[in-house]
Amino acid sequence: MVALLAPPITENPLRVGLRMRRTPDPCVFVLFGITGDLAHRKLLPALYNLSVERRLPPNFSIVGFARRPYTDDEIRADLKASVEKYARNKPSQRPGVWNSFAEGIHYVQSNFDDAEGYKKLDKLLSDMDEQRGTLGNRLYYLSTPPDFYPTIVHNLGAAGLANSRPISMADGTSNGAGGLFMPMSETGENWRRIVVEKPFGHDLESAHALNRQISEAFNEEQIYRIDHYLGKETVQNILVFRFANGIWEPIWSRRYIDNVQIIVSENLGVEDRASYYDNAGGLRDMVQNHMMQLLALVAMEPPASFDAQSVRDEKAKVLRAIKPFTPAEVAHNTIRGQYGPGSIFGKPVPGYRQEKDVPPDSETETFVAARFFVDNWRWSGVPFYLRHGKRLPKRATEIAIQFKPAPLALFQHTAADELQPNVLVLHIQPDEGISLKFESKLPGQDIRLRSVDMNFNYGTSFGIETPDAYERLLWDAMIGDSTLFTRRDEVELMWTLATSILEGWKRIPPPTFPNYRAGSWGPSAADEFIARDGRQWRRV
Amino acid sequence: MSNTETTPAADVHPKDGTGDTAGSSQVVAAPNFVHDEDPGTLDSGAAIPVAVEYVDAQLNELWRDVAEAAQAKGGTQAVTTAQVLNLIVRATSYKSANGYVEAIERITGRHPCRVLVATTDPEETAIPVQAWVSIHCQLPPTGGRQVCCEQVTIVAGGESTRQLPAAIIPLLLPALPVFLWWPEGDPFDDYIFRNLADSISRMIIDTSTFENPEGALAKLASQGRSQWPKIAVSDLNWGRLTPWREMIASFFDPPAMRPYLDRISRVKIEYAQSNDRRAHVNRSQALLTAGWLASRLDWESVEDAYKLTHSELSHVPRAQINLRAGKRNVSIDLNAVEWTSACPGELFSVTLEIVGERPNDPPASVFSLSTSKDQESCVVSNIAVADADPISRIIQVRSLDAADLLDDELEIYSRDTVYEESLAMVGAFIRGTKHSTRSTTMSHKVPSGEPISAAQAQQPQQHRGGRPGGRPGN
Repeated sequence: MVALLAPPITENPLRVGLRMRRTPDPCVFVLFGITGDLAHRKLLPALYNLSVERRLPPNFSIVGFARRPYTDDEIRADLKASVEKYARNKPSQRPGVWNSFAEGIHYVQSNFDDAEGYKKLDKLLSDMDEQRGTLGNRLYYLSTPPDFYPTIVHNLGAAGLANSRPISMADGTSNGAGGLFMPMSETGENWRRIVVEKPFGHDLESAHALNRQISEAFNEEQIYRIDHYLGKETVQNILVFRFANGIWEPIWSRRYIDNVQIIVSENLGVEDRASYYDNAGGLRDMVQNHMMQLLALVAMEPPASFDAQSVRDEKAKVLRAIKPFTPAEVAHNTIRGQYGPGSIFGKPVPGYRQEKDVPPDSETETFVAARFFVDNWRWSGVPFYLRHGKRLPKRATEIAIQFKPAPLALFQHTAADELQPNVLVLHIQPDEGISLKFESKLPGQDIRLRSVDMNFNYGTSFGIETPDAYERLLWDAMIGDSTLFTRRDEVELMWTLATSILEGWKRIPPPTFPNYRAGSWGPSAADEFIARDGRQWRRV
Repeated sequence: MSNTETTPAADVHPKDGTGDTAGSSQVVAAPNFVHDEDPGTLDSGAAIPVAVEYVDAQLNELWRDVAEAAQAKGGTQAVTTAQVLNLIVRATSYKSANGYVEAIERITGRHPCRVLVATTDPEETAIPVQAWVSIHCQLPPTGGRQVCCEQVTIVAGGESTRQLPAAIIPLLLPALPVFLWWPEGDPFDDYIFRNLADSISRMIIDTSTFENPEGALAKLASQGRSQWPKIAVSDLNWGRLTPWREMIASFFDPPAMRPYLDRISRVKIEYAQSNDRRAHVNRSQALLTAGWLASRLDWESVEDAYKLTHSELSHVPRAQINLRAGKRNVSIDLNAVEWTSACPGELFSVTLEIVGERPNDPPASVFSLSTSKDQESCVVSNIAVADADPISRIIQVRSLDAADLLDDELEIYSRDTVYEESLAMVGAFIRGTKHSTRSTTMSHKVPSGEPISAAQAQQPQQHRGGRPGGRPGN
């Protein structure tokens, strides 16, 4: 009995003063769909970079689980080629370093619905705990087509692989020299966590269902819904910008802000994702998740602290303050579009319906504009305009906060319409930075005004390449920090809003598609839509 | 330090934008460069000579040129300045000044700053104080916009050397921290340092360049903070230990491994030493590693802790440090190994041992890190704890040059208390005085000398940062 009581753990005294708080506990990263594109392009390169840069424990291990037949050696060779191609740190530079990383990679071949496969997995994991000292800690990662998520989660639960267990003698208490008691982790338990890739559901109902299915095997604290947008340095910087500077708070409200525009503009078309995209569309692919998260970060109240629950509580409050549309309101508050043939950078490109794997009569939207109101004291009456489209003239993600104009045109010979309102722009990509537009006097005897941009650019101020979002997020998941992951209530609130739009669209006849030319800024209806409010889209 | 020769044609600014292999940097300068009377010292045409009082005005001109050049190239954005600190660098020859400036230029992107290079040269025995200004811009490797950094080189010689501090102080950008990089030797008795001391907030030294590191470390430990309380001192040689500290710390990150820290009784540290008998022995890295372990783990320095033993096997004496950890003795051996390293006394290996139950038993558990002899920039890590399979792994450790180290140092604006405590411990070893970090800071655990039994281990341990004085928790 006594052995079950974990002794209190002191901090590692040698960590004091080092930049990295600690390395994650020894663990096995169990990757479902290790043969897929995401695993090869993003996940393995990120893990290898983390390992080479000494951010992972020495016995960090990986188990791949997928349907194709592979031996351990074959999967290692395959992954090595991808890591060589996509990672900063190349295996060929230091073969010894790759070899000691690759020793920890194993493979289980199985169908995702085969209970036997999970038994094999369980056995392999137990063996690895013994041989590599991974202490029963697991990070499961679902990188398969989303249809398999429920099956995998169900089987993990059924095989007893989902529950963390209190430390028992059998689990790894060692009676080494001197009868040393060895607690396994900070909590005295080993941990099991699961990372779920997007798309997280197809609408509110399917998101509900998926949450329910996952929660049958895992607790909310174990679930990490990944949104790689939140791993981006500049997205995290929104919080630093807002809450580490005192000057914004007093003007960050309906009193001074006229409207907020969030734009995610892509010049690419559907590329090779048509089979997924044609079923999803721009609303599900971009607005429902990434753009709603950006909105929440801009509009949220200061959190009580910078921990996972407080930050996500505040984001959820914003999402809850946005009322879902009734079908009648949808027509008034949204615009959808689909691109036809046109040209990008002076080169002709096909229309959406002419793209490979897209049905010639597809009604899928590749452009969405929407207007939301956050009904709380801070934001009442301030419209948040969201605009997203594929095949727009250029690639840009930014949040523009437009302030109310100066109340009076004081300067002679300046017409009121010459006075431009101040705009604060948070540029997310491609050129991360912050700019503030204000009025200034043109040199000369007359008073003539000119808008100037005061521009703070990360690239020019700090000429560094920002770290990859996956490295940041995978490491956070291993260390157990879920701040940058989406919580269940957030996902469901975001789907509530998106689903209300989808429902509305079902009831009103779609516009005649295509309704914008590739390489233009979207359908003219979108310009009319915002012009009705006496405003216009900010030129990106 | 060893090279006092100066090439007659050495230039303070050797950059002309053509020889840069990375192709990522360029110097923007006004075209009206006029040669100095002494063409031997500055011949690149990159920097503009200007009287010290006009440095700011000249920099403004240069910024305008930069902006015009950017517009001429079709740039749409204004060139903006975002400066985060002042960096004064002390150079004792034109040649070394060039080297420092090159290192700084590599990190401009991360630390946009105004650089003031306080230069003297043994050849210059009678020149007035002169300044050269330039703006150095760095293009990000991926293309895109440039980061610019202001450089002012102030040269003096002979009599005018004493005017250098007064030339530098008015050129510091207001309200930003002032860093002084003193790349070679011990600054504390230097006239220039003493006259800049009131203006600087942080000084970066490099103990690998000290002629008598033991004496200097002891002096720094005893006098540094008391004489210059406002200056946070940091050490590039300490920065070279960061990867080692991280690797050693990561052995004990799993909570299961932490109790082993309380049972370490022998530490072996090896450092590189050239086999040239005339070469100085520099143990600073090994000593700082020992000081770090002792201060973090509450090992106490005892009287006459530090002993040097000469042997016939090597011309370098072996150093041994004897410490106490509660009832337990801890010994640290510092041994030279023949190894060619970039910097004198580079750490070669660290081994932490927990002794067996009887005196002559082999070590019960060993944690070791050793530089790989056949794979460049790699360290072999080994963990062998009782009753478990040993774990061995090859870890890549990028070698850090001056620019990398400086880059890290410029990120820290506050005091590095871990360094200061390690240094204080080193000072105590060398002076042979009793010292424990616990008496100056906080203690973190029970004194332990005997193996911890399972039952004892479940007693609540005293928390780090708990009661000063450190009685066993009960």
